[in-house]
Amino acid sequence: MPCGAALRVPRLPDPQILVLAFVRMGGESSPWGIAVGRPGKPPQVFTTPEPRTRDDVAEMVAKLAPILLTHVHHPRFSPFGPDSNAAIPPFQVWVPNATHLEMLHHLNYTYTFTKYGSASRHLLLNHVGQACGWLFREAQRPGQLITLAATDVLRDAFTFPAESARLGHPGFLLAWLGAKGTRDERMAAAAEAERLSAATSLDPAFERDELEFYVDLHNTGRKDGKAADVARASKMIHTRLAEELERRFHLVEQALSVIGKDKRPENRGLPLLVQASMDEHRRQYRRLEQDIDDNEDGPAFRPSPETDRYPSAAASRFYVHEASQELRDTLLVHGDREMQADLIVSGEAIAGVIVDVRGEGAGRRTVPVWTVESRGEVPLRVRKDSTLCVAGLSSRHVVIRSIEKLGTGGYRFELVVTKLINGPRKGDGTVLPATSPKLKKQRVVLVKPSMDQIARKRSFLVWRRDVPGAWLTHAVPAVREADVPEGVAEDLTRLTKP
Amino acid sequence: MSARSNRQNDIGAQVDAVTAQLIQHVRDEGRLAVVKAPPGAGKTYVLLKAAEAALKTRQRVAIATQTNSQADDICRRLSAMGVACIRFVRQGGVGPSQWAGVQVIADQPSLPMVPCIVVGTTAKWGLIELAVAFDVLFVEEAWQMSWANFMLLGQVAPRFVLIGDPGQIPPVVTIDTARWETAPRAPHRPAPELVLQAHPNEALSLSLPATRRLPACSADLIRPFYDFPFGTWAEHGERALKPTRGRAGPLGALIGRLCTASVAGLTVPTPEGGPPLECDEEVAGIAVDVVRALLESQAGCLSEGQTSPLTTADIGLCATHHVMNAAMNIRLDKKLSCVSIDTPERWQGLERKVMVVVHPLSGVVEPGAFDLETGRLCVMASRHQISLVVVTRDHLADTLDSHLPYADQAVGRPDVSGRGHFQNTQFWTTLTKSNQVVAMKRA
Repeated sequence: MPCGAALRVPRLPDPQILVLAFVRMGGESSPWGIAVGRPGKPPQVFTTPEPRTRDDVAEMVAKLAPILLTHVHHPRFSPFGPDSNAAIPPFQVWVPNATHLEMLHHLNYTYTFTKYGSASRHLLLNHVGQACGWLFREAQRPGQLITLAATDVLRDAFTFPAESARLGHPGFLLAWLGAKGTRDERMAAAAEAERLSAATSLDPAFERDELEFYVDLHNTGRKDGKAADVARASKMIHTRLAEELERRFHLVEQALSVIGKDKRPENRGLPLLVQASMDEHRRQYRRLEQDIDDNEDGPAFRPSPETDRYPSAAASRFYVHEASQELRDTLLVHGDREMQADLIVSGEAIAGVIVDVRGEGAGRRTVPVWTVESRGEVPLRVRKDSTLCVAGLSSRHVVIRSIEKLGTGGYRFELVVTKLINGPRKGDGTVLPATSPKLKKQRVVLVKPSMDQIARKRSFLVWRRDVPGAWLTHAVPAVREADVPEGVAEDLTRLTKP
Repeated sequence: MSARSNRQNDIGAQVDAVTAQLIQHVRDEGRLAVVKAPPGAGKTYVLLKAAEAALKTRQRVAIATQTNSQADDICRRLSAMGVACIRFVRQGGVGPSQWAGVQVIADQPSLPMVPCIVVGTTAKWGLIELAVAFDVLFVEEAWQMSWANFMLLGQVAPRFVLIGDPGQIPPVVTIDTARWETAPRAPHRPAPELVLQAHPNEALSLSLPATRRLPACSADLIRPFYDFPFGTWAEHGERALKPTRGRAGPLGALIGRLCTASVAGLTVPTPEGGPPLECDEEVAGIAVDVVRALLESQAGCLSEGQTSPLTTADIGLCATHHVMNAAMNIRLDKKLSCVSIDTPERWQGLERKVMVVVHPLSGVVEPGAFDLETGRLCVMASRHQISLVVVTRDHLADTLDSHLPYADQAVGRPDVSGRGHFQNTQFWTTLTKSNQVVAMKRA
């Protein structure tokens, strides 16, 4: 069943999308193979016969580096170069599900600070580590539209009748959507699709029956200097893993196709969210890669894969996430009547009819006051003095002056219009002034306005260390003396320099 | 002098001693003080006394509250004490200018440079850029303030006094905080927790000795939620509900329990197929029936040796979910329109003589970390002065008994779920063992 009246993800052209899929050996964290490519084209598949050999995995990841770093516009690899004002077009990185996002985190852990191998390789791997770290962190930011797990996008676009554990399987979701027939037949198709692993882990039986022999052959051959055995084993492992990787890759392609063919429009708030994502890309990825300090977003440093040890960095990112959530929640609702209906049912929005429009005061000081009546017994989470805005006309704000319970079960609200009283200056006339009597009898939905700029401002202000209470609020905890070896976390010394 | 008077004098003397210590600390320009208080212990009184003392020693005093209503309330109380203050409001804000001695200012440059007391919300203080810092900042309800919000107050003053109730609901956070769970200064955690962790020796650490609001048996129930000891102003039997009209059935039995102890539970049979998923209409209806039965019993409220009649305005209703509160609200007819209903978050800082609450785990058969967090239960169980009724589905005891909480917290972080499970179990077991739970029978 479709969820929402509009799609909550933008449909970008294929060249702006990179699909990534991983597999790993049972019990190991490192990737065993990687599929990478554009939708609609065969992926490039990189594998290593023995993922427990650090050097082999590093070599494999190094092959991924130019493709990934070009796509995420690393300053050295992007066609736009290091220009911080470049108008980089939106892009996306799609993975099958959350386990593949975790692999990005693993690559972040492994390679961000590595000094292993030749200088050229470890610097390249550092870049991959940073890119994966940023993609993973961005995946946690509410409303971001760059790092996308196919399962998340599908769940956001459709409602599936299944328990949450099963909703993490893209094959299961796609079969539900694609299978024909009765509910039972679709359920059976979904259950069948679910039997094929889509996570980074392989089916243990497949790994045991199809790969174990060749891994042993490879290792023995390497030990005994039997190049032919090594080559044969490597080839067989690659072939088997490629099948698995390509299946995961195709699941993402199918998800993209489902979203691409969906007849619903894109939510009209999406361009702003895309812009916010690209701003984050500029600030938190390209800027940090170029080691450029920023007055608002803080000094340049390489974020730790684990957490933010520096208090201002932690608080600043916390506020950015709060602002992002606020923006997403309040922006998309204007372009989606189903989202509005959900908010009305939960009492966070008001739906009613304007029964009276009057002006208080005189002349240019006229203050428009609306009386709105809602019907039905629904909960009410807005209160007197709450500020709301008109759904579809987000810049028109109202403040609730009074709330009266009606005998019929609904409420009567007296609302003072505080913003966009006269309509837009360069409008086409379709937006009536808030004092217009024509507004009477019009149905109106009032939702929470976005206050994301407040949290954004806090994310800048919290970097200020030259404050009288800084000895308490901004003191850096003694992690420099803690068990954090040099080069495995962010450089706190650099961050604390005056 | 009666034993009660002796005890209350003793508690009064202890509160005075804590207040004096804090005043001295502020006068001596101590950099950091943290005051822990149980519910209804008079922490705002202590804060105001210390702020007044700071003003008398010609200090510029800032007070940060967590909500506008708290800020207004402080201004009202300062006005009543005859202490002039400034209510620092948002641009376009009106503020409580009706009280004598309260001036309302919205512009930061208009704040006086002379000794004064300025009261604003944490949000307001955190968004401005002060040209000249204050001498000392008092933070009211500090445990409701996140570390990130506290960081923004570093510009307000170089010295801090944090006062609050550590057992209540932690700061409300709506985003996923997994990235910062192991951060040394996790931005979402209550500020005083991190302050005490980082400055265990430097901070003047005080706690208030007793709750004035809660009767003794209620305090016994919530004491496990706190990491410091506290007593009660009213001992067992000194506060009770005294009905004048009898009633049969479980509601009559319930009211009977409230004659001898301040807390009683009421269990509602769980349907065969399990409790309703979101809104439990039956429990909502029964909670309102309890309110009606209490009023119909024409009960008197015994407190401090005097009895006053119970009115609708003396009763509060509380459930953790808005839909449940809405379901209860719909059932309140005009006669009950003065009964207040809200979520625990909104009840913080408020009190009523009698509270009827829906247990946070009622209807929750597989509790998660959010459900087991005890802050909400603690708030719900500490708003009453005379009596508390806890309504729940009867699966509660079995659910707690059979539930095995996951220790899925980040490395180095406390096991909040496990602790919550233990405290919830202790709360309900204490109530059951003291024969204060009345079971309704299946119809």
